[in-house]
Amino acid sequence: MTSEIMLEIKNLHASVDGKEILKGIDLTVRAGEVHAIMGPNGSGKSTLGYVLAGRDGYEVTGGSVSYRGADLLAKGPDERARDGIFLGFQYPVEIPGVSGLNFLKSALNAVRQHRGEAPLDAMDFLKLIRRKASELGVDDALLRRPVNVGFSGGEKKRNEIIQMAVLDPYLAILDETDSGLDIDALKVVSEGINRLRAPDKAIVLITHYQRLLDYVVPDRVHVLAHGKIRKSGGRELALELEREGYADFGEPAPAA
Amino acid sequence: MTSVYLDQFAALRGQLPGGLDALRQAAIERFAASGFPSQKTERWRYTALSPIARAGFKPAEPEAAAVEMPLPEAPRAVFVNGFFRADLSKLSGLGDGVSVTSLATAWAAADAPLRKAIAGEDGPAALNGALMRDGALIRLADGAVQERPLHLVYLGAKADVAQHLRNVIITGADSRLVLAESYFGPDETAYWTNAVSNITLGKRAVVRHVKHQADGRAAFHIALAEVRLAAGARYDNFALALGGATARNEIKVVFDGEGGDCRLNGVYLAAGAQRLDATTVIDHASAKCSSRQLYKGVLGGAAQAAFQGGVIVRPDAQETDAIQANHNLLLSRDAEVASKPELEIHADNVKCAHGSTVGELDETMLFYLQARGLEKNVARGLLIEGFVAEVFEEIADEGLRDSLKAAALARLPHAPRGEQS
Amino acid sequence: MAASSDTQDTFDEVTGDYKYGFVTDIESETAPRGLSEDVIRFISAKKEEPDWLLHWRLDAFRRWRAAEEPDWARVHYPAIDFQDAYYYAAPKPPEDGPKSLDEVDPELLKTYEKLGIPLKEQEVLAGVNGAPAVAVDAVFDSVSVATTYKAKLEEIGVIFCSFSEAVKNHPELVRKYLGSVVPVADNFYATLNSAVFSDGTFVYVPKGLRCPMELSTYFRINAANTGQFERTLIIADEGSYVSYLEGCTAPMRDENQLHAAVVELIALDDAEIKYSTVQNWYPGDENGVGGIYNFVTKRGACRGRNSKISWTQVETGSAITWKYPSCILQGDNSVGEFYSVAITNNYQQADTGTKMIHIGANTKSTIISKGISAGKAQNTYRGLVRMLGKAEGARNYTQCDSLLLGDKCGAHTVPYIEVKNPSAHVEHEATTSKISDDQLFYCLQRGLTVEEAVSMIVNGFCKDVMQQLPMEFAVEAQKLLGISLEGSVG
Repeated sequence: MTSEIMLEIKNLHASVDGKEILKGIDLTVRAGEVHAIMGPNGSGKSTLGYVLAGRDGYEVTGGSVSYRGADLLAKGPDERARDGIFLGFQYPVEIPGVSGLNFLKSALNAVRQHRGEAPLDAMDFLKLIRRKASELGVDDALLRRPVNVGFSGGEKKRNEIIQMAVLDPYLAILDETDSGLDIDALKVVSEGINRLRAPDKAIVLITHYQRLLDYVVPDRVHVLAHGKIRKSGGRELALELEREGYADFGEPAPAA
Repeated sequence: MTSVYLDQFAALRGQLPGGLDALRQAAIERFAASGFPSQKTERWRYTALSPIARAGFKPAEPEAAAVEMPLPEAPRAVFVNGFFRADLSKLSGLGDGVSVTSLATAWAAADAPLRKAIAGEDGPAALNGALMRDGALIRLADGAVQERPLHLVYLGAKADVAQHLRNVIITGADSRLVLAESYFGPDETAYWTNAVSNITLGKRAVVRHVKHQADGRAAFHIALAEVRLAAGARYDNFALALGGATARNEIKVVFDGEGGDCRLNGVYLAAGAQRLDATTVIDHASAKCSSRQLYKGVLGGAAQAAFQGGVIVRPDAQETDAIQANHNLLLSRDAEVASKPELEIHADNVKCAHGSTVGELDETMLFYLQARGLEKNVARGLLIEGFVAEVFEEIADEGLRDSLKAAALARLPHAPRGEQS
Repeated sequence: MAASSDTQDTFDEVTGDYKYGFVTDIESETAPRGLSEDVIRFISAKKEEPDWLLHWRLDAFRRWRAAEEPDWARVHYPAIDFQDAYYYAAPKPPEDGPKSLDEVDPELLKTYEKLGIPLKEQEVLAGVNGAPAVAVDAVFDSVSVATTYKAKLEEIGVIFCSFSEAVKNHPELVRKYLGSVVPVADNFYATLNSAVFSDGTFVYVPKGLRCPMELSTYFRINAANTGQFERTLIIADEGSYVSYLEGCTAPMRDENQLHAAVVELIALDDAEIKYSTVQNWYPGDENGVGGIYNFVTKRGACRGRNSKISWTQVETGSAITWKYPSCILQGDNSVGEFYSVAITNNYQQADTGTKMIHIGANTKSTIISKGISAGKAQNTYRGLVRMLGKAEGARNYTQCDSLLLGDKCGAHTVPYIEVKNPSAHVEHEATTSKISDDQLFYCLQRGLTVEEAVSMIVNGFCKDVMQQLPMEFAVEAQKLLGISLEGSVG
């Protein structure tokens, strides 16, 4: 039995500030799969993440995206999130004065309400936090501080992963979640991602380097360059890219 | 207390040059209506104009005597008692498309900008509009470049007179100008420098303007610079205030087009019984402009100084980036400082901030220097120097930076003379 | 990009439809309309005041006649017709007067219930989870109606009663301190208040006593066209501590109503007064019609060495707010604090801030002001920090932040810093911005709606101030801002 199609992107075109960044992306992600999207800087990797998450200023100019069988592009970003899409940001923003616990509890209860589940009260939420934190091997002290304020790069990425673990999305899109991490942080992050893996969930890793993929082994690897997916393959493709770099994808193919 | 000055105008009416009678009449009427702003008016809260009002400084006359002090390198325009002195000036080596003349010889060329400016002036600036006799008229054609600093030197000479100086500076698109303005006068002479500069920058023009105010310690220096920037233009101003019994340096900047950039920097050193006032207003009337203000003051004796910085962001001036900072050091018990950095903001997609501090020399730093063998006065001098040095770094031209910094350091208390840090 | 209409709608949710808009139908006994010496005599006679106080009022009235309305604040309003209002209204007491709470007009009690004021002692005891008891001095239309816990407090020497009562029972204290912090001639509205003040709160805490409960007063304007001229006097004797809460609501009205209160605080050696306000006066409708004019003079004198006065305010209401709770830091080592959240929406205007006057040595002041502006509102912070010649080693730290929600409102910062002592340090910082698109998107991507995101971010923005509020005010502040989770978790 083939698993459910989690995400189906067809010929997706998108522009930012009037400049076309995504030039016709085709991608199918099934539940239970981990896909890696790699590519040179400026290829549109982050843009793909933002477009899927529904960020203002990223204009879809063509194509379609369906998520769990329904049109994704028609929904606002918070609706997509409540439907179970999680975007791990490359540069998580600071939110002064708002504690991580407060933030996460509100978000979780928004998701639960959307699913028809009762909201967690303070006690149960704390229990959940402690459990997830210990599973990931992190200190929940990070959550008592205002969201991302004064966090180092590693702390920000850890924070993203804790959020992901608590929110338990169906589709996690992680944008360069491994960049700038030391080995310990990388392990925490990988642990979190691997724990999310399940037959009814899908993960898309956007990454420039292949290092993360040693810890989170992808089912499919795609090369995104100059706004299109140029090549797809299995895990070996990542290793090939590591050896040879992105030079082969440097020039866009001449117009057909 | 305006009657003395109104009488002066009446006596001179019709004899004032330029064929600008209607303009001057409009100006004197504005002055009559507003008078000398009292300290109850917000913008003049910290500047007492009553001594000027009472003194009734007579309009200055040309002064032909030789001048002792060394003058800066060419190109330079020198004014004595408010009148251009061709014999002391040297306007050779100007860039192509750069024209510098005495305003007294070219009123017609300045007519349009003068009309526009005077319509909005009042107080001492309006009196200047009525009684102005001379000043510098500087015009740069599109693309003209004057990187070698153009010096304007104003020497106060006679007692009991007022020099009503009017400078008009018009720069074309893509032009570049480095301007150095300086004021000197003998310390024992009471005179009044009433200077107004109307500066217009064309699209993408760049003007770097440095002002060295060293009028005599008994003099009064009231100056206003009104600056308008077209789209993409850049105006940098550095003002060093050293002289005057009462001195006010006011700068009003308006962004008439998008994408402009303005930096206003200043250092004021007040000692004895001086009253120094630095007032700025940057009007973000267009979107996507940025501005920075950094003023530092050091006060000793029984001096008083004030910084009134203003930033206005109009309703559609989105993507404005405006920062103001004012830092003051008080060195004596009787000195007094006031700082009022104001923000008036009507657009939301903006980044605006200001900071203001008043304090004294850091005890820990002082002790550190002393522990390294520096005598206390020398240590204090170094720290005070360090405090103001940062602002001088904003002056792009090295020669100007060095000379202004030297002038400032020479005036600082306990400053080690002749020592370079 | 300017804020989307989503954000504006969200903000409206936060400030909410005015919940407290209703009228209690009670017969009022009012003074004749208008303002004259006769009206003043009427008020003074009604309250059975001694001659010295009548003369004090009349003197103030005469000064007021000669005074000019100030116009320097950044607020605009149609000229007030001072003759077109009633300056005194009291609910008619039953013939024998209420001897206990049970005898107070039941309509009145219903009003307080609607407002959520726990007038009955049992309700107060049951009130907030585990919080210390709150003694309530309820003011209804210019006359104090009931004072709970009065007896208990009296036992330990705390005087907490209506101003009128204090005049009768503790005249020497009132006479000593009235007008000593806000002199009669201080400003136009203080002078007016001195002439026509109706009632307010009087508190005296004796030497060395830490008042065991929060003291609180709720205000309400009921009859149309009655100005509210409260007069409050709080004295903390040597070594004492008192925390006082002030919260106001008012019904929906079309005519603007003037609120010109005067609050004087005196802290002697080693004493501390904490004064908290949650102000929710009717702000006018979405077209700027109606609303309260809140022109208040609040000042605290840190008379004693090591004394401390702390002002905390959450201002969300009033059509026009004009107030500068201030501290005169006279005693050496005294401390003044000002924590403020001011929200303006629709056509509200606020010109508020504080004055910290440092007179004594080693005095210290902290100012944290958070302004939030939306709709077509104008929100101005105006602050004065003045260090006088003898303020050796004085310190001030000021942080003013403004948040703009929408591109039709304004946020202005006008600080005056005046220093005359070389060893005094002042540090002032201000920022103005909007909620960044990045922050908003981050919250949305985690599943929060725009309303929830804005509420959360605004809360975070105001956190430094909200944390200063006593627990008892948490509920009201929460309704107004959406208080953060952290207080009850971890």
